[in-house]
Amino acid sequence: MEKLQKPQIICHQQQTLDYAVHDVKWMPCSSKFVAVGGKSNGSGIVQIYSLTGEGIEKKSEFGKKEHFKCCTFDASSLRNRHLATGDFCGRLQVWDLEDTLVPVYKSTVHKAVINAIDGVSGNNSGCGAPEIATASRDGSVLVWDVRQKDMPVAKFVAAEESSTRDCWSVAFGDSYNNDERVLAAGYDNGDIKIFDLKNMKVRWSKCVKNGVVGLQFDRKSIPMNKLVATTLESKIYCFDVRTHHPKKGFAYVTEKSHDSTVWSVKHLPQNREVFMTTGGSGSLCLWKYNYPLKRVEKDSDGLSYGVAGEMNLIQNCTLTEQPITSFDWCVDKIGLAVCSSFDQSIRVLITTKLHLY
Amino acid sequence: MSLAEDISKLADAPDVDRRTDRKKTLLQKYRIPIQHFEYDYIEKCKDARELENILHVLRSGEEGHYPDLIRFTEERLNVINPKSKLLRACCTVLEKSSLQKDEVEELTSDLQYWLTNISKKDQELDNRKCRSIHSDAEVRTFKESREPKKDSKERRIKSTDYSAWDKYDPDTELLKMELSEKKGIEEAKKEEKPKKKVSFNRFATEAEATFFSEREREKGNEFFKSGDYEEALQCYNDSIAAKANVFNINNRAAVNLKLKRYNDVLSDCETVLKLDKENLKAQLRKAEALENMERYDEALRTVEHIIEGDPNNRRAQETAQRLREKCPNFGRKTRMKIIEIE
Repeated sequence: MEKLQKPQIICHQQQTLDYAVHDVKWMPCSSKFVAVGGKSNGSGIVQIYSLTGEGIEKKSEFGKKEHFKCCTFDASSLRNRHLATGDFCGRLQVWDLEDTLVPVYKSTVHKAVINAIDGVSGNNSGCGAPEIATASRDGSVLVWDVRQKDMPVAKFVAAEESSTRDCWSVAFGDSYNNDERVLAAGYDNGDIKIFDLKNMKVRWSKCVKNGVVGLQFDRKSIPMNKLVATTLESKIYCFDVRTHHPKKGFAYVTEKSHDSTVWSVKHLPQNREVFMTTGGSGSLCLWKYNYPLKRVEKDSDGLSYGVAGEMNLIQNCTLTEQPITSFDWCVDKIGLAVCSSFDQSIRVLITTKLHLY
Repeated sequence: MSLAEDISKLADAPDVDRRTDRKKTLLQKYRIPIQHFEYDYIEKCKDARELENILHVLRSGEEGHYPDLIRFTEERLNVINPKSKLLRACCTVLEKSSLQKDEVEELTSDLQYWLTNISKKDQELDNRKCRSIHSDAEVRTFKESREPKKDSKERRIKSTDYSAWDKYDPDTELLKMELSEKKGIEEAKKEEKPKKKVSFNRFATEAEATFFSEREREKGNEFFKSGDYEEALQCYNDSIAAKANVFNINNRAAVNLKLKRYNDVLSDCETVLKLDKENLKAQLRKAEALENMERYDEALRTVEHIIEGDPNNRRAQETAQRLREKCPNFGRKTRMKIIEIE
């Protein structure tokens, strides 16, 4: 009986591609998703697929000069659904997918590949301006507002040239009204930093020893609650970022899984306590975070500090032999997801029984 | 080997460990006597930690391969601590071909239903496409943040620099440290989070309103589950303001019940019942609210209505039981008097 209640991950559709795919994303409020990547001759490609009753159908595609590394829809409204992309030579471009000759917005401030991109507030009212954040190998993290041309609206760089690190991941959070917003960034030396965009200062930083590949807050538009970081050497960290203690910092719990790099973490849009991590060994792990009985305790000075809960592994599956580099849940349908892997294929997955958690 | 010998061996063990640190086997590391690797002991062992260690040693193969003993230990560990990390098994992702026929049909029809639904919304959004960006928030004015430079010249005093040490006053240094610590603590105390202020844009399309409403309802459910009822209420309010439906009003009733705002529960339940006359959850919540407002008669009437429709509803039966004790007079009027006639 116990076994029957467990969510199962089912491979619904599979499509082999003739290029290296770096990122996949569902288009909100549709049955379409995009795959971005690049061909062996160095050119970049964006493809739009649609899930139909028969299978996956390619709707359209367009190519550009450089490999596309990452993309997001999160900073655009439902009525335009523009795709923001970052490419290998550091360009940020925003595309209208029906008119892809020239981007609706572009910038060339980054000097090296954009490793990660995140957007916020595209279709949320009362949660601040729509913004895009990009993290690059040149060590800088830039924040963009498509209403301002050519210049970023905020910039985070290391103090000296020599201490510049490759920035691998970036995530928005704490954006619960028009003023508050933070940006978390993960670096190749294991540093995780939370930048406060309201006061423009580093609010918190911690080194987790291994390079931080994936980073995500459980929700962007609530007071920050949990932050999950995935790193090289199979480590997953889950921080309770609601309560900060001046000495103890944030409470966290850590887990080891996948026996290789943990490439990405994605929280289920319908339940923030459930998230999927994808591994370099081609495996998928579905986790549920359980809060402790009391999340906040007081120390002898009367200051509150957080108490970490536990991570419960609810499903652990192997999908392929190559690393699963990107994964995205569908916002509109619980359990539906798409992922891409180094074996040059994209797969549509269905995870059952998630509503039970 | 007797137990006494074991204990003496364990006492000696640390010395041995230090010398042969590198070559230590798992068996030595965990200090498990070899006779514990046996069916009888494992069967009776109640210590999950020890079972995990035994399993670890067995799986490593350092002491030889015993497939049946491994399986036996796994089974025992599953009884003592089913959540143990060592029991995590990896399976392969299911292919559609390996599923039962009815399961596949269920999945496909569910997906097909969603696909037709979502394409309608997709179409609506495409038709009402707009290229401009609306936001009630201003563009951020540019700021750059460089991390504070670390002092490369460390102010550490050399152990041989006696004149500097003469000037060093440990008491003031201690005081300084204490002060900076206090400052940190005060800052932490000061922090208070402002509330979310929502100003509603009118949604141009139905699809957008539904989308926003759904997301807020989901957020509300999450807050509800983690016990943050005030936040949940805020989310449900936003959800209802965007687009009201049976589900989000019903959920708001549940939150209000938790917050003991029974009048609000009642009005929400009434709204739901107007839309969906036989909504079970709304009826139950209405009964519970009435009970807490000490309007037992009305509560009992509501519960009995539920039971009429669904006699096996346990929660309704329990509530009814409770209510009958509280108002023994209910229903008396309808009882028929039997009078014998000579």
